[in-house]
Amino acid sequence: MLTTEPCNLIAEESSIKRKVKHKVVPAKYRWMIFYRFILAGIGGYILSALACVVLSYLFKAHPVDAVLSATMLAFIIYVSVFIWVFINHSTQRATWGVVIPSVLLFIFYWGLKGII
Amino acid sequence: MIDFFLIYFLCLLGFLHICFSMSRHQQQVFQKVLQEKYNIWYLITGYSILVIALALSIYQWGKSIGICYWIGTLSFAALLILWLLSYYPIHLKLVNQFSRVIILALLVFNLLA
Amino acid sequence: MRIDGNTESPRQSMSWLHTWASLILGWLLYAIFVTGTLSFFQNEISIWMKPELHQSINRKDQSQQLQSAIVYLQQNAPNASAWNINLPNARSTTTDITIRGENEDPRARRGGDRVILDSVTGEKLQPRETRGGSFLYRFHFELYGLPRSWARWIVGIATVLMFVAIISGVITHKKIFKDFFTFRSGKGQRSWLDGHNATAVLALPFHIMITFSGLLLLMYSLMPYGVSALFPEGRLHFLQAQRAQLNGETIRSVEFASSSQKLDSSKRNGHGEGEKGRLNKERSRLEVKNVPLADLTAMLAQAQKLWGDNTVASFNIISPNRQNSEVEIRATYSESILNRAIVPTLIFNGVTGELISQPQQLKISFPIGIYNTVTVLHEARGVDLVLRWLLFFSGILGTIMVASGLILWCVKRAPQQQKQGYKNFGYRLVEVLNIASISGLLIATAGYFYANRLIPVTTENRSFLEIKIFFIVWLLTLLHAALRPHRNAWLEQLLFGAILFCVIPLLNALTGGRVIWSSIAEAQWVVATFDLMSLALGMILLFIFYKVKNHKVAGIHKTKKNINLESAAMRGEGQ
Repeated sequence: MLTTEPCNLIAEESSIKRKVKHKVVPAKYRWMIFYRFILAGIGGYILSALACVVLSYLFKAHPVDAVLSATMLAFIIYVSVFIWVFINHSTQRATWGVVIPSVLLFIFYWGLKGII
Repeated sequence: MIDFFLIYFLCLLGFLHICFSMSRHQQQVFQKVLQEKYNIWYLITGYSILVIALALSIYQWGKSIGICYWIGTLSFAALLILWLLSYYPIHLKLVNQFSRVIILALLVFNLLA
Repeated sequence: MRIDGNTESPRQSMSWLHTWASLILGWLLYAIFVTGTLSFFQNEISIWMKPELHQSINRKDQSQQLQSAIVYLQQNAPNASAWNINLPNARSTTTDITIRGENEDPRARRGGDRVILDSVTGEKLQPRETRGGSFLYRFHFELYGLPRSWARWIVGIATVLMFVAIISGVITHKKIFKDFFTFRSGKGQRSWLDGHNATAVLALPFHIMITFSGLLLLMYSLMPYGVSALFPEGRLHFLQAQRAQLNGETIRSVEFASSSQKLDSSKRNGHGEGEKGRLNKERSRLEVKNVPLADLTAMLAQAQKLWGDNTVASFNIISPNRQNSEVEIRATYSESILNRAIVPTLIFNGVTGELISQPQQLKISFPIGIYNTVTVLHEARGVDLVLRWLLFFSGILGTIMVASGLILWCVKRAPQQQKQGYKNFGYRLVEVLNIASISGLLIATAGYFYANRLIPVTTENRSFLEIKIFFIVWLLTLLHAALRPHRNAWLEQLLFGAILFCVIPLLNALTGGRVIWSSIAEAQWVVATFDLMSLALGMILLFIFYKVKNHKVAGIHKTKKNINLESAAMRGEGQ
């Protein structure tokens, strides 16, 4: 029932040949889409989580405000990264746009953690 | 409740004016496109009335709650206009007059009470 | 995202993203919107679902209601460590009392024995066992039956996708100002898109607020890294620091986690006065003598005079009948949403009756202000009824936005599916899930209300049974949607839902609740509005049913008679 359901009751009766254009979706395309969702979903999350920690550390003089602001900004960064990954035509550029800031933030975080 | 109705009708009137400033809707409501000068006039008065509604809302309920009331009321003022435009566009002229009367009445009522 | 890999404009890529990000968890989002919108009135729903409470009406004036509560308490719990009396108000017509036992913390937020009194007669009422509206509220962000953190993560991911959908939707909506008042009815796909745009744009500030605050409310599950970086001892520690900052105490450095005098172990249990409270209790147990409670009605009058329209909501009497008793009086509505759920409060000495303190002004920083504002609006804490209804109707706009989006996806692809002559698996899946969620969830909710009234009061575990029926009915609507032809499924479920909701006022009257004309006459709006809104929803579903019934879709409506005539004609001519 779930797979197919004839929506034209006289399909068999009709003698008119119907040209059914089956769009073949290449596997490469599907993988690209899947990859982008992973990049945006998980990569973006990692980036925003790192940003959250780094921002908190940077403003630790006012810890309560820093933590709240960092968390709120982290959510906004997450969603922005998500949009960025999909608004980019080049998948490669989208990847670098997530990976490079993440690495930089991680280095920054490591440094701050060592100093603090 | 009176205050809410006052804010609502002010928002309604403001949005009506903004709506009248667009030629597409002028065609629907007035059955003709108005002169250019009316576009600007309606737009300015429309936004001004919305700002007055905001000011009154803040005066009545304080900054934070006042802004919330205003934003919430805006949605439903616009919704009414959307619905009327779609099904009874010509009646919007009537709504225009009606809102003015109601606002005046509510203002007077507020001042007296 | 084009298959042929050509460049597309930002608007086009955002259009693609908007479609797919919304669709993935669109049905869950719809469920979150429905249960969330209903949760604005979860108290009212709970009261409707306890018909034993309907007899209580807010008829007497507050000092009389207070007196009958005190009489009950003096008789039944004179040695309690605290009495909490919630007077009836616009959202509740019973007098709700919480009694804290002798050895309990008088200022604890949870626990204590709850007693419900009839506000007119003062007798104790025993409502049936039911989760009421709080099941819907909990489902809204914790679903049901899943481990708590899993469920919050799933809801969190749906919220992130919703946020993505909002932003991509705004980017892709080219004529957002020009089309602000545009709704072209009767034009198929165009109308669905206009409707989806209208419900989205008209309540856009609400949608942004509800989504962002939804994320913030789940921040301790979704993004706890900032908190754990600066407050390694955990969330409670962070909250205490926040409270300290609000009270104007400066927090010097992050390292106070281990060594500060301010946040010492006595505050660890999360209650403001743990240490002091315990000392008080020791002292009070030594003083066995009963010190009569001061005249509470005088305090009530003083509070009423000070607060005017903002009616007195509750009395919290700490250590009653003892030397050190205090009375905290709270108003109903908060005066600013920058303060998280803080309503005007007065504290009196319980023996002498004199005013001890008024709460001081809190120092609210900018980030705290933003957090408080959006979360208070999301939960509608301390907001008055008009704002609550505004939030509720905005929630309905949001629900319609999600539903119209889901349907739009099918409507857009329907011509191509028809040309093919069969329906793709994906398309059929979306069709079935659409019906099961959009009309199915509503039918399941009605089922929950019916179960509440039809399951006998004395059944064991009846609240669990009510919830089970909710899910069984929902599952049945899914099966129905899968097995029936598409159009029939819609029509049957819409009609069934309409009948179910229209009959609710009748069900209410027949199963022990207060009948609708009585609740209106007695101004018991808590119960009356439930009945009225159910009726309204039933009418709306009926209206939609007729619209769908009379809707003529090109090519699909061939009756048996037409088919025979057409095939006969073709056989005759085609030779």
